[in-house]
Amino acid sequence: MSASAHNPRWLGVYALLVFALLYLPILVLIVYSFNGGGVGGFPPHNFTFSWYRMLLADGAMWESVLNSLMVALAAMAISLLLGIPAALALDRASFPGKAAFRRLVLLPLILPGIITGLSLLMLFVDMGMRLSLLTITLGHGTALISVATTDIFAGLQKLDRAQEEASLDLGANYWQTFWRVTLPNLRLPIIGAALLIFTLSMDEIAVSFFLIGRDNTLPLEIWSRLRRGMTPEINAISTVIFAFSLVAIVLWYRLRARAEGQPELGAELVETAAAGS
Amino acid sequence: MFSRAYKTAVTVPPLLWVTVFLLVPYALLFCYSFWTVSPAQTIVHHWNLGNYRELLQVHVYFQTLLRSTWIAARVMLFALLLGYPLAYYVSFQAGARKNLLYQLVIIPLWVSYLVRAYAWKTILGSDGVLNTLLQYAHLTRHPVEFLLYSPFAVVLTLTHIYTPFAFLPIYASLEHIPRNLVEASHDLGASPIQTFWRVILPLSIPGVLAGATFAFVLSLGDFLAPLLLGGPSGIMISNIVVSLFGAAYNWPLGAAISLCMLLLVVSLLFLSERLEKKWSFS
Amino acid sequence: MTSPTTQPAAKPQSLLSIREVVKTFGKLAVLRGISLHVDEGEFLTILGESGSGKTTLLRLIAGFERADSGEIWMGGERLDLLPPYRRRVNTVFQSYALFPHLSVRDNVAYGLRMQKKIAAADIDKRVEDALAMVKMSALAASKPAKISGGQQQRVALARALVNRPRLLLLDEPLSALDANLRRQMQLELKSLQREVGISFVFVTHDQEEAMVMSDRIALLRNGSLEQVATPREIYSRPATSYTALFIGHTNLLRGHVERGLAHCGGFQFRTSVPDGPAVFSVRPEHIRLATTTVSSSSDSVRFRARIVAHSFHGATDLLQVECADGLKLAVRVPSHGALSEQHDFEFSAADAFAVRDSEERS
Repeated sequence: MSASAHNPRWLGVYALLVFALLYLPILVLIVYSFNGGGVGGFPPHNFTFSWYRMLLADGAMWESVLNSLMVALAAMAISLLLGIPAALALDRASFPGKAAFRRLVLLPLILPGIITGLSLLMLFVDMGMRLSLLTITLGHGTALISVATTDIFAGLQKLDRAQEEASLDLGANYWQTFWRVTLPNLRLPIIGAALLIFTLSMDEIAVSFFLIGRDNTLPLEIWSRLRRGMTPEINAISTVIFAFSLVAIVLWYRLRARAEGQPELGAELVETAAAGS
Repeated sequence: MFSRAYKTAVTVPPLLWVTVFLLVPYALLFCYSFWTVSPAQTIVHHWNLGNYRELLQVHVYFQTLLRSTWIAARVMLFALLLGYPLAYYVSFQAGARKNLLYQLVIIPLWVSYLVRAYAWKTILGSDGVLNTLLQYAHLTRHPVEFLLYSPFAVVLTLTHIYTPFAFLPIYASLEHIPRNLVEASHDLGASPIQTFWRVILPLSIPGVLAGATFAFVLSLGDFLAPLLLGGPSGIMISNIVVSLFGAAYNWPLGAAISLCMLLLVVSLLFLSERLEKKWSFS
Repeated sequence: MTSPTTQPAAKPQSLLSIREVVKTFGKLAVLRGISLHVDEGEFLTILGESGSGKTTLLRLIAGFERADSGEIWMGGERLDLLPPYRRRVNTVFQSYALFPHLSVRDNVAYGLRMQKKIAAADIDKRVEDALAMVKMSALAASKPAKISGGQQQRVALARALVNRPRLLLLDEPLSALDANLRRQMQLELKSLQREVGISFVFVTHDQEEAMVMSDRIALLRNGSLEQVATPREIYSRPATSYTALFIGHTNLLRGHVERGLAHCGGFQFRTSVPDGPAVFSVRPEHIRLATTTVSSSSDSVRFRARIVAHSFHGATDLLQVECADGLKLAVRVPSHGALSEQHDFEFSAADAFAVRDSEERS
């Protein structure tokens, strides 16, 4: 009795069901990307690659992929270039309004995306800027500073301050210390943040929705097609994206596991955002 | 140990950027909500409370906000009901597979939101996977129509999307519980169930609060799932904002609704932070 | 008349001079006006309990903290105005602070590479020499995480010394080592210091460690210096009751002096201390078992006490004894078999050393 109470079987079964719910849509998506009969219909039949062939020939889709890649890379650069100093400032400087600054930086992480999106829309319109991929990049870059700051701040908390003291002590100035000690020690959080920012930007839709110009990003391209109706080509592109995400995750976990064992990307983010905003 | 120049160099650039691209836009949102739009469709910078008066007078806004809240509350509840036992299982009983299972919860977070919402649409549609499966198994002759284009579909999809968000902080708080507390409880004669109710659950409350806040706030502001799967009865408050900023062209009214949402979200965050502090004992 | 040059260098030149340094963290006064000097080639230990301010004092010298007031001078230069990286002072950190992403060799080369003037070949040579000095050449390519605590300690030492600082600061560098390794490292460190001739400022809370290694000990208490003296002097002539208690064990006898005669509870003995209240320190090892029936000399103080506890410490035994008036004393005697419950003890009045009563501070 005691053993079964310690390890009740129903809990394992329940966990299995939750996993099933989490993975069911992804599974369906992948299976039907190979379904000759199109989206839906049980059982799937006529295994085919034709949706992938169709996707391969779809110029507009690939153009949007290219746009999204450019936006994601640029947004990643913006978020990191500002998120790293922001994390350093939060960790080691004291200035009036620091608490407010912290909350403001983290706000886009928890606030519904449309609020950030339309606020930025007002700014750009009032500034007389034409909406384009640039405005989307600025929007993503700004909103995702929160991710960079959170991840890197967590890394700084774990960094032994004596490391930097030792460097200064050995004659390296602040700049040299930053490049040779601080940054190498933050390698993992920075790579982790970069990956996360990239993925989130590739998938971002609420902010982009308001800041879009003539050129579509991938999610907006998919979105506009979904409104016209469902096609298995979307299953195909989704499967391709999923495959790439999986490769990225696996690479990241291996990198991280090699460096310290316990991967917990995302958890820190959610925790800090929850505590911070 | 850091010089003033160092502190200035790391503080000023992000501070400036965040001021220009976050603080000013949010302030603009505030301003717009007190302006109006002229019949000629230009923004009139004339300060008044007209938008807020309209929000109070036109019932559809309040009803939609209420419906959004109700949907978000259900998503929160389901996300906790799914996320907590899962977190408990992974943290306390998964043994050697703990890390693998933890990662399996995270992986769906990396899959496009839009794509996952779309996948549910292909499952729930009238000629979707579920309905054709039911017909294939002769459980029903006609497609079950209420599945798609209903609040049910929205709640299901959002629950699926935000369960990992509820899971993560709960799991983190469970992981932070020293295992010798559980052993001490057993040692003092408490059964596993008593230990759960008297030791584990109280100590994991901060995680539950954080997870609940995430699930509620994120689903409250969602506008894609309702558009994709909600149908007319599944419209949420963000959809109204989107249309006010689009075809309906009334930015000031949209700004007023957004500001109300912003205030609601911020006060919820504040509340949950206070409660979390109250429930954290370390 | 002799010319100044023929004067023996009786007093070495002062290398570092700390003048009236005050440091507070918020409302907490950590250092309350410290003045201290370190001589060329000296091994000075800053000894104190945790919270006494010893690490803060070290960090002020290294440049990681800024004093609220006061000055620090080194060789005719205001040290406290320089950033840490311009000070010819290096630190061995308590946790060693080895860079985990760099190999042992690169850790040691780090400081030399920061100086632009040194040629790469020279750097290699000096790094190899430094590693040889601490017997770590074989592990030069390893990452810090792969070597033991004692080895990390040696690398940290080499990394600091390779820069030929004028002053080496050591922040409880042995506290992470186990007892045996620690004793061995104490001796190695002391002989290394003699070898390189660099001044060491060593921070510790362990009075035994301080005694073994130091030329002088600066005892810090609640942000003020209690006493600065050689180990021998601080042990045999403690200035205050706190010093007497902190450095080795002691018995404190409180009483008063009248016309050259001290009255402390049941004890009376001659003293040169002026009249008035007084505190005397009597070391446990200065109290002995009385063997003859009469006092062995004219100045010896004799008393009878009950032995309440008797513990074996190898070469010596430690006794807790209680006098007739209830006063409890610690007595250290050469190892002894069983003793009767009551016994006669004696100490000589010369060993009752008058100390200043340390006032209670918080």
